[in-house]
Amino acid sequence: MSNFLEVKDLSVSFPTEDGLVKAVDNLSFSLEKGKTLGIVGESGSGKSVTSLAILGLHKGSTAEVTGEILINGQDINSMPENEVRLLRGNLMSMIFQDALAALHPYYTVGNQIAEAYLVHNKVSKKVAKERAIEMLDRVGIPEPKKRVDDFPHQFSGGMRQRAMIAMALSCNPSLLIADEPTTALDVTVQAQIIDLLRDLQKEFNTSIILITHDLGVVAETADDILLMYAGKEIEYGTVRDVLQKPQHPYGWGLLTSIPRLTGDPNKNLLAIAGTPPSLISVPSGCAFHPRCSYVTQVGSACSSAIPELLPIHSGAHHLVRCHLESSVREDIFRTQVEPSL
Amino acid sequence: MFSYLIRRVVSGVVVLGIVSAIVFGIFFILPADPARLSCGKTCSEELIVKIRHTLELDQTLPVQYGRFIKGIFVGRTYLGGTEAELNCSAPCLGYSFQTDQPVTALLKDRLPATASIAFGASILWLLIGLSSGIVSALRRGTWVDKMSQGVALGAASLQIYFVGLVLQFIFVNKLAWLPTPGYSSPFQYPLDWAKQMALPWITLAFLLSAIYSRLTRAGMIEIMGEDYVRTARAKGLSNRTINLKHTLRGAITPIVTVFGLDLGGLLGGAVITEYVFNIPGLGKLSTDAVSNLDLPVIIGTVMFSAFFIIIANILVDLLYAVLDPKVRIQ
Amino acid sequence: MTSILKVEGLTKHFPGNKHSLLGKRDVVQAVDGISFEVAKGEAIGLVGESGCGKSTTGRLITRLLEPTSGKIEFNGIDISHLSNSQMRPIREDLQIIFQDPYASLNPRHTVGTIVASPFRIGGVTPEGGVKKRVQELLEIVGLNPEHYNRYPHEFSGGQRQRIGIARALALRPKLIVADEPVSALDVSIQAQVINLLKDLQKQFDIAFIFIAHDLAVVRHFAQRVAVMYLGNIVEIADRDTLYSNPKHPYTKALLSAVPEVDPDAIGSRERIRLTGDVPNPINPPSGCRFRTRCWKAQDICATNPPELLHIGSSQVACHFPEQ
Repeated sequence: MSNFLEVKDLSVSFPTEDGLVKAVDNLSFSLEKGKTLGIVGESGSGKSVTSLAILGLHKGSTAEVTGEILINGQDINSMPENEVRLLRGNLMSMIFQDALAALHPYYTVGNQIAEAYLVHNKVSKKVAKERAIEMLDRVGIPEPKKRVDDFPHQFSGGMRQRAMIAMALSCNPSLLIADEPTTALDVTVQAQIIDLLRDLQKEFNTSIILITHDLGVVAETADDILLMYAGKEIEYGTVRDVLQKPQHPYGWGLLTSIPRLTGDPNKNLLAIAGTPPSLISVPSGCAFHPRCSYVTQVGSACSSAIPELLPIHSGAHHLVRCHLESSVREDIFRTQVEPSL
Repeated sequence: MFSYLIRRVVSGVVVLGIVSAIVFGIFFILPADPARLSCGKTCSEELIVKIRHTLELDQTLPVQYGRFIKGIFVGRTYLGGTEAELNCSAPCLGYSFQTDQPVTALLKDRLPATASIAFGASILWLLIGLSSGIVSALRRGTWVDKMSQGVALGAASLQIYFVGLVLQFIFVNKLAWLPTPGYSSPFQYPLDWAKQMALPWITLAFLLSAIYSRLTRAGMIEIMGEDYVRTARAKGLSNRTINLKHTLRGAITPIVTVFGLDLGGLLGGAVITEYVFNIPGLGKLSTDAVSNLDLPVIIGTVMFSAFFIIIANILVDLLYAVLDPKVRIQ
Repeated sequence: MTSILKVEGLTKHFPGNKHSLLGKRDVVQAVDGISFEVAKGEAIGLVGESGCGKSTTGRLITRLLEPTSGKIEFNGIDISHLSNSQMRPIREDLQIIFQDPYASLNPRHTVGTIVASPFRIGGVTPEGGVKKRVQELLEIVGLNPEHYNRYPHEFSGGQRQRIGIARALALRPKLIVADEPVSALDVSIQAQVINLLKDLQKQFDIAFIFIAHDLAVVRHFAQRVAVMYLGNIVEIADRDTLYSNPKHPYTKALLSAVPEVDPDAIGSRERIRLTGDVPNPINPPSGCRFRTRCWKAQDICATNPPELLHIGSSQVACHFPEQ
């Protein structure tokens, strides 16, 4: 099956007073129609910068974007802004973490949804408003005819995120980028929104890029996972591969450090030492090496050479960027990581 | 919302009362004697006593104040010196010591000139200030931005009496493109009115548009960083829609606030402008009244400008509710 | 068990908006008549979604807020309505850690000054001097003691939270209220702080009230857990009972909503999906406040507020608890 989205060697850098900061460094991934890719990382990992690049939203800023972003074979990155604009909200759209901040406080929810529909469809305002009501109904807003004239602050947190989704899907986009869509929500509402996204994906065959720091949310929604650290992808594979047989020490750390509802609660969590690096001073070699417990098994390469992103064994679709020998990695995983998962 | 409006009106009336009491009190304790001032050249002790009685200056302060307030609401009767009683119907602010005209008539007379300056200039400065501010914000860091903000900074630090006189020297005295500023009725002589008002408008607009330009630029730049502007871009809207419908709309509230207060303040008398260009408006009326210690006129003009400022405040708050649904719905 | 804290019928109503000139002001019923006890050295978790009143409860207990009614007994003393100056000696034993490690530290003070502030306020000079004790404290929370002269902005989020913890520990308190102490931190940092708090709790035998929205985090910290909903406690039980055998429908729904990390376990779990959001605490539902989202609700739920009753080893406020 051909890939609907293909990102090749994407890099995004920002000029700052401290020099050029590489927020995203040589990122490549692909996404099929109707599938979900979870991009997982902590603050500063470059996951949000990546999502904005796919929508071409760095155009017109000081950011330098190189590489290819192919949607249906068209390269977004080399396309001029006035052409990308016509794809935004239409072929590809985005929902954001904080729906209260992401919706205009002075316009009604209906107005904002209708506006998104009107830019890309030659219809009357009345038709656009009907579309807004229809979308609100579809995302599960009760009494949509009445609520369409409400302002964002009159909606509850969960309803606002639903309204954002309604707005993003109003033009039936083929690609939806969801940037931490449930992080600001309560857990029972988060579950509703995850269900809603899953249902809508099935219905419209939308491809979704889900940006999150929450492994649980990815596990419940994504097909593939891309793990990012300090602007680089360090592990890439199916959800099962990455969450059940993670290969990168950072992935191990993440999985063993998150508290879960199962397992022995009296055992201390296996935390990752140190803090995520600042992009202004990314450690040399493997960016994770100052926090990695297995540097001694490799030696100086960790701090001097950037490991390549390679299949864990030939032909595998599970890629990892680590200097550890695959047999050593296998061994560490089986003896030290798996027992505490 | 309605009860809010009532609360605001009531508190406005209370403020007006306080203002009037303070102005009244200040003039009472001043060392100057209004009776002597209005007495003229052929003055005798006898006459002063009589005038003092006529002007009711021989009453206690509370009595004078009480009658003053009564005059505003129901009108009052003056002894009127030797002649018959003078009936001053509500709203009565008394009679000028200098010209014996009713203060309300004076105010009514002078308001059109001031209003002409205020409205004309405000349209001009809004147009210039907003558009240059928007352009600056959108072209941040370019030479257009630097130049317009440089001019704005320079203009904001100049003074009316300097700019006004320089412009008058150039356009009236040297080039003779414009007549000497003054006031004629816009309904009878619209062209003369516009020509005479041009310099006051330009002068005021020059200085105030600088402030509005900076305010607009700062507001626009702040809103451009808001999440909802990013959402507007993600929807694929055109730059024009993003800038005007989303960004400017988000930034407009503080500008409207400042504008309302500026306009309200100006309507109470564009004191310096009127003085510089010698225009018979409320500002000129009040400066003249102060130099002549014309007590009723001073009180009248102060209360009139306080009235405009309070009205402007209430209107700004109502406008806030129109602009911000969060305020409206609460 | 001897309790360090006893809360009875604790209530906090905040004044809300006024809608008309003569109309009544809204009342936000943030916390409405909750009772619980914390034993000496016990770690209790307080969980619930936004607006459930858990943070308000924490602020009431530490008397950063004045309760509307009810009683807070700390270490045998009724502190419900003590004044600030009366509270001062008690604060030595009763500390709070805040969620936002950025906002809760004064950016103009050095870490040394911040951590030493309880000594200054309490007028206590620790053995060996303030500086020595501050350095000890920094070491205890895993910070470099040489860094006492640095400012908060020189530290990362996790380190700043450690500074807040060191400050709370300074006077060796008997009870620490930790209000969402890890929710602002990156995933990889959360575990460090949870482990630290857990170690400190055991090492110094400090009672903890751990306030969090994340059920999994609380499970790794608390021995007993209280679940709050819209100003009420709906269930209190020891950890293992609560997580393996929740009695209140809300607890059950909350647990089932936590996303599962293991892809294989996702299908096998019971899924309960609540509809709608938490209602407005200005106008909470009559009777049982959860009934509007509860799939078990009957007529009685709308009329009679359920009491918190013992069922097995749990305390549950529900007319139709799970078995």
